[in-house]
Amino acid sequence: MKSDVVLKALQDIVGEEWATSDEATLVPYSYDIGGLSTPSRPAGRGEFVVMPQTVEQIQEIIKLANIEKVPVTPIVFGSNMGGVAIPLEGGIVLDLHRMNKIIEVNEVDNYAIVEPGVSMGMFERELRGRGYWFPLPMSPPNASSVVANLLLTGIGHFASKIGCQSDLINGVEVVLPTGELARGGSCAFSEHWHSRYPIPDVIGLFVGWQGMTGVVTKMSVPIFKRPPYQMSTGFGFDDYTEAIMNCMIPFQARDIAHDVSAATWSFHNIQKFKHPMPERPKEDPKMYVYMSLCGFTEEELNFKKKILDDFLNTQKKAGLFTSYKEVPPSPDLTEIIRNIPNPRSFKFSDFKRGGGAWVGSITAASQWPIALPKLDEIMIKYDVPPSTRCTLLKGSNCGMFRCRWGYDSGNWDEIQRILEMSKELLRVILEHGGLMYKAPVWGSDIMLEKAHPGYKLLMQKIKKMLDPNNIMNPGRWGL
Amino acid sequence: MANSVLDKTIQDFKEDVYRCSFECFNCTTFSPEFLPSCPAYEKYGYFTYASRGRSGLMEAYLAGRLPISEKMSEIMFSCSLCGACRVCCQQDWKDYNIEAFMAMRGEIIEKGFAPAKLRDALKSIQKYGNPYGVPGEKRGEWATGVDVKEYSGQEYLLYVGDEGSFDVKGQNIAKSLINVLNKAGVSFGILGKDEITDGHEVKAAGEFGLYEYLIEQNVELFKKRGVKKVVTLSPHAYNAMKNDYPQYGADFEVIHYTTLLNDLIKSGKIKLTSKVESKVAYHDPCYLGRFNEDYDTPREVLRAIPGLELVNLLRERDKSFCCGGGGANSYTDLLSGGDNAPSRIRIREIRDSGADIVAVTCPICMIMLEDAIKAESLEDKLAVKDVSELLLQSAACCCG
Ligand SMILES: Cc1cc2nc3c(=O)[nH]c(=O)nc-3n(C[C@H](O)[C@H](O)[C@H](O)COP(=O)(O)OP(=O)(O)OC[C@H]3O[C@@H](n4cnc5c(N)ncnc54)[C@H](O)[C@@H]3O)c2cc1C
Ligand code: SF4
Ligand code: SF4
Repeated sequence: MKSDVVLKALQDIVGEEWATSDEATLVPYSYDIGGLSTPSRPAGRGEFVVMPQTVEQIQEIIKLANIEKVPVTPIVFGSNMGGVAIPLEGGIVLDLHRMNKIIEVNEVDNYAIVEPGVSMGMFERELRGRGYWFPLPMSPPNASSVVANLLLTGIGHFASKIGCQSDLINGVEVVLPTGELARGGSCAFSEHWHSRYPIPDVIGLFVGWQGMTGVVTKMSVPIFKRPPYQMSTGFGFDDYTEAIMNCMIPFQARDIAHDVSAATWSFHNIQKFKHPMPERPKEDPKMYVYMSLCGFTEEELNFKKKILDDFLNTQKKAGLFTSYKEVPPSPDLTEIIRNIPNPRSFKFSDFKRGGGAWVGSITAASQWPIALPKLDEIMIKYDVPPSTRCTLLKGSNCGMFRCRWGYDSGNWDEIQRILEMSKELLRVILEHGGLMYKAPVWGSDIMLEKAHPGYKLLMQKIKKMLDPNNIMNPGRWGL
Repeated sequence: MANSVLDKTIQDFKEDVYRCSFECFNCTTFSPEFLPSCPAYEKYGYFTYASRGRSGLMEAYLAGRLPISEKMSEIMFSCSLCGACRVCCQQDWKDYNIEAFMAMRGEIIEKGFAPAKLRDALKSIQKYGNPYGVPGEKRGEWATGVDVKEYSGQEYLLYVGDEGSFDVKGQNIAKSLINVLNKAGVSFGILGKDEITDGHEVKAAGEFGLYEYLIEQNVELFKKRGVKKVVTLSPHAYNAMKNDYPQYGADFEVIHYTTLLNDLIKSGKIKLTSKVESKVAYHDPCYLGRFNEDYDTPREVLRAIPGLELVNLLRERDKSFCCGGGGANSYTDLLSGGDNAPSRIRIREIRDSGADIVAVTCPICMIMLEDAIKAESLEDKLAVKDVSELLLQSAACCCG
């Protein structure tokens, strides 16, 4: 039987204990509650899980998959919440978490080279000890891959300063879908992994592609000196336009804060309440705006704080903050941001049979206040709290714009309802020019309806050229 | 009176398995130290072996989508029930997961898929009252030539337990403890051949019916002998007797032996004069530490020993990394063997702390860590010693 042949070959490559075709062992690789599938309603089932530890082993696995025409789906910790690491068409689940070396931390040129299995927690631990930090995302688990997060265009906790995670990639080493080893960035020319440019860029071939174009085995990322003085502050508005257009965007223009974010009342309070959430008390603001500031000296931090205070006063005097509300200072928020990755961030799904899901996008900031009332309306219609968060990326042209809620993951009808709602939300976001990140299949299908034909053609050509047997994470993005 | 956990079957957890809702996987990492927490996941590597995967398995099983198999049995029984995931997980699932794992084990046994070694151990317990396949009359043989009396109304019953009675390393701990207690003039006795297993690991195996039977036997025996205070050698027995036995009519006081040693030091009944000039790391056992929150008593005892330098481990107290011996793994042996056996991972961490001795307060930890030292060829760098052995070393000169 082919299955036995493949298993034997995989075990020969990695050793018997690191490859299996056991049905029970494969269960947790078959669903993603954030992506609206569950153990009892899996989105796809792999036939094998294999856990390589070296680049050569990955190359051999990929070559085997090409010979046997078996799909390969890379996964590290499977925390993407879009179901994008689920083997939709079966085959081999390539679990990379054992490749977890921090290969180099270069404190002269300020970059680090990591393998895909390096988790956010491991990276933070290493950098903290050296007085560095990295823009890890605010809310994901500490066991989630830094490499996968960057490949998936995640949003880190100082994205307002440096942009989205993918902008940070200096270089990659990658096993191509046909098994050859390639490099992109300065590391393709020397062992200095310092930059992505100015050569013809190939790194984009792997960014946002959800493992469909190769397996990244090493990645270089910049690291930043950790400012010892940090604070986060928040204030409220009853009007989305004031919060976003009169507060977030103009303050971001001053380039003072490393995080400029906002959240609707429900999002802000979602951790506090058990399902279902109460109505917003009238005295509470409709939207909270948060700013995170930092400094290498207390003076620097105080100076930034003063600039923020002056800005707020100027806007108030100019009549631009008619719905402004003071909110109690949140030492908690400062603590959370100081302690990223922070495992407490998803209490909102913590009720019987509770799951959590989301529709996240990168959308032009100017569109947020126009789209938000429509999103609120949809979520209220579906009886979920109107819970949205937005974060400005470097500059203020766009940012992360994400709705998130808890749902009953034990109720298939509810899951279908939530899926319908998610589609409605995405359609509104698309109307406003937004694009879904970590898009599950239903999300990419909706986006492809709108995509330029030339974009689709180019995607197909790239995929075909790199992966002639279509073995890498097939079934996504219409490919 | 019935114990609520022991009354539950896996069906009772149907709603709760969904609480592990996020593939968040925090259960595999202590934070903010960001160090691995789950011994089973460290050994086997597949998601399935961590709390997250176990809940997925149970959910799929409860939905009728996954049959019980030998592999599922291995997965469910490889958990050492160490409770580390409970420290890490931030969802309410942590309040149910260990009970659910045990109930699932019960289901697996009922359906005839118990691991072979476990079956043997359980049969032996039913037949002889111990998991070693040795007739009960031989249980007291280790005490031949040891200066200890049979229990007959002394202040304390020393409950030696299975490892203390049958495993050479466990017997050595029992002997050194007895030596210390004798030097301090403590009034105590043992049950010898009448002792039977405390049942803690039987509960861990999900055999709740047998566990209840063992509790009842023990409670009856202790009552018949007029036992008022029990000192246990093993934290596992301590956990069972402290937290489960009272619901079955046990009215005796139970302490772990480190509490008694600490009291003896404080009251001046043991005088520690000889220096033990060693760097000692203390390995917190799960069932004294995480499950009963006693992190300080053993450390107080160690600190009282002159010359001894207590060094910290990266993972300690509630974030101690389990040696892999709990959760009936001392019967099934599913966490031993190989480079990534939890006991070997732990011993390498202890080696890196600079300690030359690792102090333990649990005979299972002693067995696991000593084997790991051999497997890592660290015999000339590191030794495992029970706290009572270290105490004896220091007390020897003045008292004996
Ligand atoms: C509660 C929660 C909150 C979250 N909040 C945030 C947030 O605030 N910001 C944010 O950015 N993210 C967030 N995430 C998402 C998630 O944590 C990240 O995207 C994460 O970094 C993915 O890592 P992973 O190891 O789980 O990747 P996986 O889910 O295993 O993989 C993700 C994708 O990358 C592909 N892939 C993985 N490794 C490779 C490789 N080496 N080469 C090629 N392709 C590869 C996989 O095939 C898959 O398509 C959150 C997740 C959760 C559960
Ligand atoms: S056990 Fe807890 S920490 Fe682990 S995945 Fe489930 S909810 Fe998350
Ligand atoms: S109890 Fe211990 S071994 Fe079992 S799942 Fe939790 S951390 Fe892992």
